[in-house]
Amino acid sequence: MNGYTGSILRVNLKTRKISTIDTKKYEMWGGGHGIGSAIFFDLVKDKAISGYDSGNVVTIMTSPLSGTLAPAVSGRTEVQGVGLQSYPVEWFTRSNFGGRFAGMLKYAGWDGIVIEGKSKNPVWIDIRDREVKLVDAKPLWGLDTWETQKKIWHRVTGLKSYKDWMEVGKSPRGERTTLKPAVLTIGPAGENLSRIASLIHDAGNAAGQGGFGGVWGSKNLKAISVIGSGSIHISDPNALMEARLWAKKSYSWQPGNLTDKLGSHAFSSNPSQGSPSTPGVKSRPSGCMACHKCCRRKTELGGNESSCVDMFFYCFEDAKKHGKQTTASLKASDLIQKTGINAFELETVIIWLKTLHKKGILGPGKEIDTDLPFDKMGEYEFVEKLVTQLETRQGIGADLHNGAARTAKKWGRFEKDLKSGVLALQYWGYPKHYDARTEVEWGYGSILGDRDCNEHDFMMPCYYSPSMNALAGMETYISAKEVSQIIAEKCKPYNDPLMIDYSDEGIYSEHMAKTVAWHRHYTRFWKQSIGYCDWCYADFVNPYAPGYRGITPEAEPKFLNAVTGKNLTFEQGMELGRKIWNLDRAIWILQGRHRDQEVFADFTYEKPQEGHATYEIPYVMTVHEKGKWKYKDVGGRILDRSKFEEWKTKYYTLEGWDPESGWPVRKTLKSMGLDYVADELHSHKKLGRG
Amino acid sequence: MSENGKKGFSRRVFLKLSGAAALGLGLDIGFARILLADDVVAIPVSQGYLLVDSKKCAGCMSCMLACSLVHEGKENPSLARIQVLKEPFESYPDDISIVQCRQCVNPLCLESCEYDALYVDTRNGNVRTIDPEKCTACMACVEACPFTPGRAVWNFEKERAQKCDLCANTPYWNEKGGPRGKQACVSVCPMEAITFTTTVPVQEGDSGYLVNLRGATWKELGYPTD
Amino acid sequence: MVSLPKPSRDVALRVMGEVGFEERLLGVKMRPMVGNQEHFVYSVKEVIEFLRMDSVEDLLTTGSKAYVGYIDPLVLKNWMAEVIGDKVLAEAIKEEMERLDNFKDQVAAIKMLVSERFNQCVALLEIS
Repeated sequence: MNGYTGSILRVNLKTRKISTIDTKKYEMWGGGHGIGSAIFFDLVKDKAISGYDSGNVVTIMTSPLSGTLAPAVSGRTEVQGVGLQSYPVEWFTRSNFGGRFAGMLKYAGWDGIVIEGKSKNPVWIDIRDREVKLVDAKPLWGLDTWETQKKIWHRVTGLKSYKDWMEVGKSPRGERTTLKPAVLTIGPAGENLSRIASLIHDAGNAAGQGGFGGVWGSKNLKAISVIGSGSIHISDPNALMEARLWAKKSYSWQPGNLTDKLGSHAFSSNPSQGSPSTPGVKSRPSGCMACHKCCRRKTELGGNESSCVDMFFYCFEDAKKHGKQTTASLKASDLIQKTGINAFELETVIIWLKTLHKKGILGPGKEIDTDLPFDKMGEYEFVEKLVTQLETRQGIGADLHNGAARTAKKWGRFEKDLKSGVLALQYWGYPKHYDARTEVEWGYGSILGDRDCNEHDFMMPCYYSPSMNALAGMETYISAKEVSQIIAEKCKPYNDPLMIDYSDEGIYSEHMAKTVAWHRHYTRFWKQSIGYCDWCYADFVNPYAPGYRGITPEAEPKFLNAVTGKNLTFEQGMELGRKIWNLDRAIWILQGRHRDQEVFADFTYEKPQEGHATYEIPYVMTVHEKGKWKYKDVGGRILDRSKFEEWKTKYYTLEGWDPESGWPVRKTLKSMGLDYVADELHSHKKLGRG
Repeated sequence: MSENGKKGFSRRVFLKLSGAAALGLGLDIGFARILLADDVVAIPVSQGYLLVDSKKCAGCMSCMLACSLVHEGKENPSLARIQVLKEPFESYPDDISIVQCRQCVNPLCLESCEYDALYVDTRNGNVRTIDPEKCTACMACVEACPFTPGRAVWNFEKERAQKCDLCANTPYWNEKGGPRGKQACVSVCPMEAITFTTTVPVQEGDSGYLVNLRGATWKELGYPTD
Repeated sequence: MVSLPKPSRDVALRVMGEVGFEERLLGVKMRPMVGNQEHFVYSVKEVIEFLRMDSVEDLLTTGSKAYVGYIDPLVLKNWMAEVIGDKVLAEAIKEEMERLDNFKDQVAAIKMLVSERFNQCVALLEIS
């Protein structure tokens, strides 16, 4: 098999049975999330179990492009299973992480790992090429993620220093590598079953959202280590090499010619985009396997490999306290990676606690009693204390380890803080990432799914670029009309320019239903199953390319087919995405989903108070009004409840779901070869009518 | 090796030749081996070398993946003839090293090969390379490389040795390689942390091969240039 | 840019002080990919610290070190007038809003104005 290894590792932690699933059985799902969801659906009979239940199955999946030269796709690993973070229901969910784990797993001969059951005692999984063992993790339990990895490296390789070739296994052929084992591990937060605990790989690659750290903790699974020396077969190596060079020449950042196009941040952005520099601290860019832009940073002082919120979450408080960003931010970043806690949730928690403290509700001897040193906000001391309490479930951590939503509920503050927007948990208890009132495809896609969707495809050209330009008093280098033309060209199969009409009418239209459908299908297949990284794809508008036309949708099938030898078209991939989305939908329905639940937090619908609300900033977006395209500030908008409900009906209809319930109908599932899914829904009386 | 009259260099002659090479004078001998009066051989210097800037490297390993892809037709970092050593928990600049074959003026790997498998390819700019037909898998060259990790790579799948040939022989890439052509690692590196030169680097120490490739753009991006 | 007449002692005390939760200002830190994070601002000093829009070059080339610290200028003006009670400063902010047509230029001018006012108050109250 080209691209694939042909084997998926299956480990039952309870019975300690180690076996293999033939990848061919699931190959039609592509890889990553598609295969992960399909395996979950087959293995988990009662899908309404808790994420803590030993019957939960976690799938950790690569794709045919993992470990290859294809840019910004080789490094991602997808994780699936019933999560812990979403509120009020623990939805079947996903997360992913970067680095070198996916490639190493493929070199060891595995397309993925399926974890079943719960071990009686803490264990870790030791994978050396095709040899797999369960090892007692008692010596590792309680260690932070970095210490755990170092100890495992030493155990697997016998080395303390890694500058030479190392033998992998004991075969007389002499398989070897210079790469250390790639380890995925939980820290103390996961061991203590936190709902906001993450999985960590190397220094700063994290599967943050979803709560998989606590899921592993509930299974007594501490870590998975893999070292591999095998080869991935490539159908057309020359085509892959040429494709890589084509992408570099025509669509990537250009070392000799940094663009002056404001807001260009997808495939073409500059290195270390995700990691701010600290004044006076030397660094280099750092990237996942085979990435052409490398969005992270390694510094001389810490904050190693962390990117995005993992780096930012404490920067603001640090800068506020000290007048500029200091090493407190870098140390804070390393701290949460070592503990294994979701940075995005933690950032929201810190702001919320600050607000409650200011209101006089939270503090020593207050209604919510805590000894957190708010006078040290911005210092490392504050975040260290907070994180320690979180990971050990002490002090305020006794509540907060369950995440903000459940904590707010326990404190009797859920309704009022969400209503006022003081705690902006907009969809399924997740912090608002991009606003459901303005950039609607994000919020809509999130509420129709299982979590903050975290897919930036439309965000850059339709919101961020125009907003930054507007704030700077500059003309965007590309007009709204031209963006709509590009979208129409690239968003197969709908090819509808009005998909990016974010006007007050447009956000409730059938065009927006297509946008959301396109987005869910594209991300489910091309990004979450094949692994194309969200920080590069979809690349719609690219400042380096002719006519500013980005690398999507040409690149996605180009790299995939060079590796696999197949002739999958972009549209066929979209259809597979639709299938995977429907499979996930079925799982949520079996968990109890109904359209009535798919509503946002109250602040989404209520008029904000000027200056006080969760509203904010200019939100300049692409709109089509009175027959003309333009950029317009839609900030301050709220969603109309009934119009949103009508929009949901349009969306369900487009997807071929019963608009009364939001459940897929048999005809839709059958058309995608999902009769067995229809049968299971039917047996639970949850098949859509029609 | 030369003391008993077998294949090898006279140390005196070698030093004369390599000294000339180190001054960048180069030697245009025309064919791989010449028989000198005291039964020694001289090896022409390579017409190409890879220079690297480890401080510029982002650790993406694209070079390794490109190398194994174009040479083997497969993706396997273990078969790459250039390696990137990474220490995820170390701080910059001790966290990453690019380790490339130096196409040594005095290639100990070649000297160690008793089967003439490791030779100077005069059709391709004198790159030091391995003839897979002649390699007996004795691994002498793998052991002989004075650098760590050894730059002569043990291909455990084919059970023979292989090494960097500056992409002179890349059956899976249609681009012309070798010192007069392109190198896959140089072509793909997103940070331009690997460069190619025809000038013979200083052989003593590392300064000839570990260089500073960080210029104005690097500074503009906010990274250090020292 | 306008130059401000010295404030009264009463105004100076309010400029130097902190307001309660109900009178807070909403600031939003805008960063690419991460989204927009609300931060509440409780004093004039915090306004100065928070208001920011990095250069276009920084926003483009140096990764997300750069960001926008946004406070709606109109809301800020009203807050200065009604909550802090510094109507002179509020009027000066309004003038800058009318003179300059984009946030980037406005934020730079408003920040200078508010800083000037803050320093005036420090001097008036003889606080080092």
